[in-house]
Amino acid sequence: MTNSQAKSFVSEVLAETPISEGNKIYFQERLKSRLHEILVNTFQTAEQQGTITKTELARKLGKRPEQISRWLNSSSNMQLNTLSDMLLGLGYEPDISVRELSDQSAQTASSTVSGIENNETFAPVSWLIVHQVQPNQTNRPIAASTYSNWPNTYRENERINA
Amino acid sequence: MSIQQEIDYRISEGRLSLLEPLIASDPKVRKIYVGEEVRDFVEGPWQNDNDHERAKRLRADLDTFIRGAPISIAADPYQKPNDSFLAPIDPMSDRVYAIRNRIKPSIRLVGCFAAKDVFVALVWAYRIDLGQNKRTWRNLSKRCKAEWKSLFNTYQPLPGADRDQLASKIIRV
Repeated sequence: MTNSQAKSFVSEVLAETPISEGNKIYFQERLKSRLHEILVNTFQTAEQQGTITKTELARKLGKRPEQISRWLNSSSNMQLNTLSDMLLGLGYEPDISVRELSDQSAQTASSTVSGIENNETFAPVSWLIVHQVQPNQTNRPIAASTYSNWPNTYRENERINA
Repeated sequence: MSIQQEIDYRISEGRLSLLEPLIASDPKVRKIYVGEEVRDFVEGPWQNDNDHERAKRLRADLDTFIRGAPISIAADPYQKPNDSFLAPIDPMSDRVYAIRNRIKPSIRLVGCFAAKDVFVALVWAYRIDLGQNKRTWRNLSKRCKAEWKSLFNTYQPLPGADRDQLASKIIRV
C-alpha cells in the first residue's frame, strides 16, 4: 500500500454510489473496534483506580466473569447493548458526536467544516467520549478513542464541544 | 545492520510493504509490514465481491492494530480465549503468530514480530482449510518461517515468552 493509495480511500468511498458492501463492512468493523477500544480503556482506567474489578462488574451486571472477559477481549462481540450495559456497570455513559469523514488530519479539518443545520462554521468534535455519571457534578471524561493522541488544539476543541 | 534497515531494504526491493491505515488521519502507533502474498489479498484487486468484503473485514482488524487500540494476545496456542486477537502457532519456539480474524469465513494472517509493535505478515489461510490437523498448521508455520528466512536470513523474530515485549496496550483478561 502506498501513501497515495491510503489517502485516496475516503474520497473513493464517498464517491461511490452505491457504496460497495466491502467498504461498508470496513466502516462497520471500524466502528465496532473503536467502541470496543472505548470500553476497554474505560474498564482499565476504573480498574487501575481501584473502583471496580472484573468480578464485581460481572456481579453488577448479573453475568459470569467469563462473559465480561469475552466482551473485553475482542471487538467481534461488540454490540450497542453490550457497550451500554458495560458502561452502566462501570458508572459511565457515552457522550456521542460525529465528525466529517476526511483524509485530512483532525487539526486541519477543524477549521474548515461547515455546520449541518445552520451553515455556521463549527469544529468537528470527538466522535465519542465517555463521561462518568455523577449527579450534581460536572461530568468528567475518562476515556476516548486513540484520537486523544491528536494535537492539543484539537483536544481543546473536543472539550469545548463535548 | 539492524532489522529495521533490513526491512527498509526489502521494501526498496518490493518484497515488503508498509501497510498504511486506510483512513490517512488515523494514529500510527504500531506497524504492519506485508509480504507479497498478504499484500495481494489485502489490497486486491479482488476477483469478486466476496473476496473484497472478506479483505475489508481483515483490513479493519489490521488498522485496529496499527491505530494502537488495545489487543489481546494469547499465551498458549491451545489454551486460549476464542476471541484472542493474536495467538502463537505451535510450536512456540518458531515465534510465529496469527492475527485471528474470526468472522466467517475466518482468516489467519500469519507472521512474526520483528520488534515490539512491529508485525511482519507473510502468509495467510482460511481457517476452514486448516482444520484441526496439526500438520496443516505446522505447514503454515513452516511456510511463514521460510519466507522470514528468505527476507531476513539470520535475524530472529521476537520470542513470545513475555507478551509485553511483543506489543503495547495488551488486554489482560
